[in-house]
Amino acid sequence: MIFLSEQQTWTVGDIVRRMREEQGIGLEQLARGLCSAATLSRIEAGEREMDLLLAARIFQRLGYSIDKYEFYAGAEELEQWDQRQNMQRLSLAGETEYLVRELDRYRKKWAKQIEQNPIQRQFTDYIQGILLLDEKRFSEAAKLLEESVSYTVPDWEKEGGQVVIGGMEIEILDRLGDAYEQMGALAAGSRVREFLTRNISTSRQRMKTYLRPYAGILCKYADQLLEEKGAGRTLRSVDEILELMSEEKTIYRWPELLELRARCLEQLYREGTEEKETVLGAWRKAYYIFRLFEKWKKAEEIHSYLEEEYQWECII
Amino acid sequence: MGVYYLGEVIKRTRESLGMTQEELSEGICTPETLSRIETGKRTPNRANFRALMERMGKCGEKYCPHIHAESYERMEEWERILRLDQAHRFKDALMELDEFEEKIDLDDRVNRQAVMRLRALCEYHLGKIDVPEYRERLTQSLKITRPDWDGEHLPAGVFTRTECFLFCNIAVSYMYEENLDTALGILRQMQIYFENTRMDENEKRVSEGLLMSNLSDCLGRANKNREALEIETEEIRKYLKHHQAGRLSGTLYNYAYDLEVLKESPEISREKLVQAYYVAEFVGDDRGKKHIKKHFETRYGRIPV
Repeated sequence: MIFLSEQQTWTVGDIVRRMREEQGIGLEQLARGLCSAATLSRIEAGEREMDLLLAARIFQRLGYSIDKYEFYAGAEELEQWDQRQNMQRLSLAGETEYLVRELDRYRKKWAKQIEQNPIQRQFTDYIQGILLLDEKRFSEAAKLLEESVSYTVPDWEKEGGQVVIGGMEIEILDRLGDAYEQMGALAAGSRVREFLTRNISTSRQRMKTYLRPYAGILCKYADQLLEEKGAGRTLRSVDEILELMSEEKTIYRWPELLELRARCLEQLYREGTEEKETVLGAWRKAYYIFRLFEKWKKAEEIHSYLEEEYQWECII
Repeated sequence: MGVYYLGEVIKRTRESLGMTQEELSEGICTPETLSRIETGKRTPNRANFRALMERMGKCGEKYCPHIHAESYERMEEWERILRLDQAHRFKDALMELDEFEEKIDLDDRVNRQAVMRLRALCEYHLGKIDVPEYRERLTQSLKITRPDWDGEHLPAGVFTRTECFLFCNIAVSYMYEENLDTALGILRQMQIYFENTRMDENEKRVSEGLLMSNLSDCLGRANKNREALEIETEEIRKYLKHHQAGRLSGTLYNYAYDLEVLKESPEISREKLVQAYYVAEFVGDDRGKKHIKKHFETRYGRIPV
C-alpha cells in the first residue's frame, strides 16, 4: 500500500470524470443502465457518493478494476461484495452445489436490494444462468442471460462497436455465447464472440484488464479462428495475448494458448513459411505445460500426435 | 489494493502510525466507539470517518482510491519496478527506481520505506553492498514504521505488505550468512502471524507467498527437505490454481532441488526443471533461466527447450 500524495484534492468523482473524458466517453454512455446521467454527473462533481457495487461497475466500464485501488466499504456493502466475489469464484471453479446454496442465501438475505436495484438483479440472474448452463438447460440459460445483460446493455448487438461495457457484461455475454454454441445456434455464438473480441481489443489497457475472458474466447473458438483468419493472423493474436499475459505474470489458459500457437506454426510450416524445429519446440512446450497443470490426458494426446507425425523420441 | 472494511483500514493505519485509540478518537468520538468501528460492530458516519482519517494524514473520502489521479500512472510504474525485481532484473529496477523517486513524495513515510527497501534489495543483488550493510538498510527501512523492532521478535499488530516483505528480507539476510537458526526464527513467527491474522485473500496470497518461498528455501538449506517439499507442493498448487506465475519458477526449481537432495524421483525433478525454465522465460527472468539451465545440464544433459 503506498500513498503517493498527501494533498488529496482529487475525489473519486474527479478520477471518474478524468478517465471518462480521456477515453472520449459521454456521460449517458458511461451511466447507461447503471444510474441516470444526472446521477453520474453529481457523482463526478463530488455531490453524491457511489456505493461499492456502482463504483465497481463504473470503473469496469472505464477499463479498470477497482482492486487496483484501495476502496473502503461499510460492513453491509462489504459483506455483499464478499458474497458476490465468492459466487464468482465458485462459478469459475465449477462448484455448482455450493453455488446453488450461496445464491439462495444471497437472494434471501438481500431480497429488498435485489428487487430495487437492477444491477443486483443482473448479477443474481447471471449466476442463475450459469447454474442452468451447468444443468444443460441451454435455451433457458440463454434466455435468462439475454435478459440479464439487457438490464444494463439493452440492444448490445445493434449498438455495434461503440457500446461501453464492463467486466460483468463481458462475462454474461461470454456465457451467453457458450449457451448459443451448446444449443447449436452457431451463428449467434459467433456474433457474440466477434462482438466481445472487437470490444475487448479496442485498447491495450482493456485487453490487460479483460485478459481472462479474452484468452478464454481465443481458446474456445480456436478452430473457427484458424479457419476464418488463417494461421498467420491467429498466431499474431495469440502472441499478442501471450505478451500481455507475460507482463501481467498470469498463466491463465497458458497450455491451451501454447497448443493453439503450435497449431498455427504447424499450419505455416505446411505452407512453407515456418521451420520444422520451431514447430517441434512449440509442441514440446505445450506438452510440458499441460503436464505442469496436471492435464495428463491432453499431454498424452500431444505425445501420441508427435510420435505419429514427428518420431517423438528425439524431441522430449 | 482491494476492497477493505473501513474499520480495518482505520485500525491498520492507526497501528502503523503507532497511535492509540485514545489519541486518535480524542475530540471525534469516544475510544469505545472507535473500538467498535474498528471491529465492524458499528459503521461511522461520514463526518467522523473523514475526521479520523484526516487526523492520520489520510484522505477522508469514503470510497477513495488512495492514489492521486495523475499518479495511477505512478502506481503502474511502481508495479512495473516490483515486477522487474521479481524477475531479478535488478539493474533495470534500480534505474527505474531512480526516476521514480524524483516523481513521488518522499516525505511520506510509507513511500520512503518502500523505496528504501527496494533500493537495498537491488544494490545487494548487484553486489554493491555486503550482507551486513544490506540488513542494516532493511532494518532502517522497517524502523520507519516499526521503531520497536528489536531485530528478532515480531512486534504486535497488523502489518502492511511492505512490512511483511521487510521481515522476510531480513530473515533471508541471515540465511545468506548461513545463520539459519535466526532466519528460521523470524520466518516461523511470520508463519504464525499469517495463521492467526484475518486479511483480504489477495493480500494474503501476495504477502504469504514471499514468506512461504523464503521458508522453503531456508528449510532446504537446513536439510529439512521433506518439510520444504511439502510447502513447495502447496505453493505450486496455489500458483496454478490462481494462474499466477510470480514465484512459480523459483518454487518449481526448489522442488526439483529438494527431490534431488532426497534422492527421489529423478524423472519428476527433471520435468519440474524444464517447466521452471519455461516459466522463468515467460516472466522475463533471464538470471533464473540461466541458473536453471546450468543446474539441469550438469545433471541431466542438454535441456530440451
